[in-house]
Amino acid sequence: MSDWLIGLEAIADPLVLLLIVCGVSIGIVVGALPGISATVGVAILLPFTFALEPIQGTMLLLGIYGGAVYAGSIPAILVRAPGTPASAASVDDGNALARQGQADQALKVSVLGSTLGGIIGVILLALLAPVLASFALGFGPAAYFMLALLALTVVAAVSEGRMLKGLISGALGLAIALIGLDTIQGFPRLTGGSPELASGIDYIPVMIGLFAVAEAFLQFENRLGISLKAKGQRFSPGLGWLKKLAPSAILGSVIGFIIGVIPGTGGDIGSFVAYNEAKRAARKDRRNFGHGDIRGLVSAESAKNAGTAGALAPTLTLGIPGDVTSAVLIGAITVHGLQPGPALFDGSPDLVYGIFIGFLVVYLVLLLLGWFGSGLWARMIERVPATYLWPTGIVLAVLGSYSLRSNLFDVMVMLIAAVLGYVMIKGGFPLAPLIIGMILGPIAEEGFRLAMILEGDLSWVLQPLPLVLLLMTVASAGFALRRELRSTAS
Amino acid sequence: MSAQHAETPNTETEHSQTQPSTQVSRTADRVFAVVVLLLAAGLGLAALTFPAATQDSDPGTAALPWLITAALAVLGVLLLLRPQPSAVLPPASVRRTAAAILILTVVYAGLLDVLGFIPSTFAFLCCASRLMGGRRWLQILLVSALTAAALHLLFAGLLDVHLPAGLLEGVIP
Amino acid sequence: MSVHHPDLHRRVLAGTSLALGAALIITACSGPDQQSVQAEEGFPSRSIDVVVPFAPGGSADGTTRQLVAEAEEACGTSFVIRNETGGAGSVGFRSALDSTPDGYTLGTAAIEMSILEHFGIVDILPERDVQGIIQYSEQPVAIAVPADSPLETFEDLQTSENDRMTVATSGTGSIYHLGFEGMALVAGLEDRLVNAPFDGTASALQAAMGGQTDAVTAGAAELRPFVESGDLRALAVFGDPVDYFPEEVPTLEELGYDWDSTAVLGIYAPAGTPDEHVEFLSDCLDEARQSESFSEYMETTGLNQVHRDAQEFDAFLDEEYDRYGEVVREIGLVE
Repeated sequence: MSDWLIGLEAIADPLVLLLIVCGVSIGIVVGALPGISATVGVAILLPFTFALEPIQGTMLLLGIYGGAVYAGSIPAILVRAPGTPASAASVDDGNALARQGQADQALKVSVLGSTLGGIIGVILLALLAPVLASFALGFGPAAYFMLALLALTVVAAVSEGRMLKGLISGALGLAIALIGLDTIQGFPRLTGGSPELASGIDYIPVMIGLFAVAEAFLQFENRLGISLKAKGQRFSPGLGWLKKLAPSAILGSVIGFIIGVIPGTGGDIGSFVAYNEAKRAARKDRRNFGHGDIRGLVSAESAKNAGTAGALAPTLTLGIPGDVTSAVLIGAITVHGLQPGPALFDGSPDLVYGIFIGFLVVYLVLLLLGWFGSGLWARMIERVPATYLWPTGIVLAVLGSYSLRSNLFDVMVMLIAAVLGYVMIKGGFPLAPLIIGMILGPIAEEGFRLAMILEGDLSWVLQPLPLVLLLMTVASAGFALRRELRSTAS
Repeated sequence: MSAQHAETPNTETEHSQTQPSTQVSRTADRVFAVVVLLLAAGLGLAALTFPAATQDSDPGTAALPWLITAALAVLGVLLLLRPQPSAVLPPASVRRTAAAILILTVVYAGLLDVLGFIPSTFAFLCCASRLMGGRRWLQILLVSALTAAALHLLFAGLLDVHLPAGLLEGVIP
Repeated sequence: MSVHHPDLHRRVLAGTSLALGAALIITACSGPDQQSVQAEEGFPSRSIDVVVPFAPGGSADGTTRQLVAEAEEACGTSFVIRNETGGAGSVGFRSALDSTPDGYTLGTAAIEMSILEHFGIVDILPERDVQGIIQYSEQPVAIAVPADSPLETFEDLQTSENDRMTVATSGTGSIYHLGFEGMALVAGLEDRLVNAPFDGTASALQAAMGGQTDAVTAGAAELRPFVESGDLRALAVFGDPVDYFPEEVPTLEELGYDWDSTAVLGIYAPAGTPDEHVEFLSDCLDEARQSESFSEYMETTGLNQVHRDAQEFDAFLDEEYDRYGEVVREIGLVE
């Protein structure tokens, strides 16, 4: 208990609180911009943190992290343009609500879900940290492969009613992910000798083109401007609303946290998996999923922010980063001569428990800023005339993909994806499976091939963790298949 | 006209009923099916040239490409056999706008490195706002210039993104 | 609902095609000429671009930023960093090497410049394309095992009853993989040790600590924290272990094997850069390297300072290219 008090003492410093508020605000800006992610914000401010105390610098970075992961959903809800890949699962339900004049409610669901996810995640992190280290280490290539398979079954959930086209979209994503250097064999696949292609097609410009720019093209066609109702309805929550959200939010948080703990997967797929499970848990009452169901939205939102806490587990306990942002975080801690790992818990409880408490504060600040900001952002977007809104949206998309690595190549990728997205929308193909395929393809392939190399044969399938995941995959796929057969029969 | 674009086969049919000029047929899905089959063929041919695995138990660099080839082929055939009616071609006037904004965006991306961020963005915003139906020239020029400058400030100034300076090389910090 | 204006489209279309034509002409005229460039009086007269081929936050990015920040005074100009990442560094290398060799575009060098060509990933021949300027740090590759492994010494690798041991590396074709293969060849271990190519060093370290593999090869600086914390045990280091490991960890040379393998950090320019400029930059960057705050930064990030001047560094990259080419051919990775 005294560790918590030491942590509290470290956080109860006006400068730390100020840095948290700054961090969350910066995070919301960078997260809402397409292509600019938490990583960029964190990397820019990293040198600045060298001058600060470890806890101060860490809290600034964590503020950016939490804020950015939350804010990716603001443009996803308002203009179908997810700011970060983790928000792609929020597009369908969030934007459907906005189109029904419920933008304010959708944004409030998003901020509440993100906050709940973050807080539940941090609590799980603090309680389970020592166990999580061995869980993360025990997650070998075989388990990665099985996890990717399980997550791939989500394709079925996001393409209900048009399974065939959803599967084509997913297979296309898998094929795009083939491009580039195969790290197992050192062979450049489908690159035609181009060094740009050797690094593979990044899924962030693809996502920007597929969602944001394709949507802008459609708006040019219609010239109708933003499809929010001119007078968006203000929303005030009631107890019944919270009760309806709670189960999905808790489920999403737990799922997002667990997936976040596994190094290298991050929160990008956690939100899709959580969405899938929330939809399944809704049983007969899931007709509205994909068309503006707040339970679907809240599950994806809570999962992506619970993932931020999960990613800290391997970072703090092992010194192994869960994603790029936590890699930068490790840099911010080690520059002060501290080494993340079990020793950090004994040697610097003020830092470790300060991080736990500080991350909770980050999410409380986020709740305040996000809750009162939600009406503001919806109105801001409504006020900008469509004449300027969509052209600026395209400029932001070009900028976002350019800034990934100061390279026009990613802008070209983004434009091709935009045309592809436009054609796919017109042809009735769901877009999300393509992104899911692109993210999961490499994880699945590497996992499978490494497992084969390590074991020499297929015996790894029968190891406990992979086997459990395999059974879950079979159940999930079987469930989706039965659902599809029933809907075609009726 | 509904603001919602074709999201499900269901809304697409509704969509097309309100727009008599939109062509509705199963042709679109057949075309998609052929494209998918061609992709499968192309991927399969490319995978033929991939080297064999260098380690005994590794399925090799060509294994997943083969699997995806098979999946695309099966899915393409299924789509060919069970095409859904869908509306793909919008009316001619709308097609022109779509083509115009696409070309405009491509040219914009191409000019980014040559003219620099601010001039090319300014030009793009002017043309695109005009295309979006903007009438008042003075307002368009003013808003475009301010937006371009503000974005430069945000990205180059605050977010430390390296933007091409182009014509304004040495003029802007 | 707006009204359609057919002539508006036509005008916009005509305008865009005009602009497109103009763009093509301008780009055709402004291609960089790859001829060698005349030395400039009063160099440098403007800011110098530095292409970092890896993501922000990594050691290449951090050390470059710190070094050029110190060098502003010594070199008398400002530096603009730009991260062009991807393809194990090939995108950034290619971008810097394709620029005009006038001393105004430099790049952060890594040992991958001498490796990638062997795999057909990118066409970079250090001898033909690269002008080394300065090397400021290096870390030898080392092999380590999990703390609970029965393998206690390097010799145990050769005598262990287990004749199929997996070694986690950071991907086929990476320096840690080729360093491992070269070691296996000279120590006669190529049939006992199996390369398990993970996606990056972090994943490889995770796999070894989690007991997924029997051993791991990685850079000494990257292994050091886990060796110090007792999670991993270093068996041998493939080079000079300056500042990284306790003395009891043997080098391959001490064990009697002729193989060394080192990852480096440095600065380079495209070949054809005037000698005067190369010398100027090499000197002023060296001055920055020796500054107190850069030394302090290197110490806190756990990297050593091993200096090579322009000629030494240039020759080093050429030699490494040949050495790794031999390894790649010998293990049959490419025909």
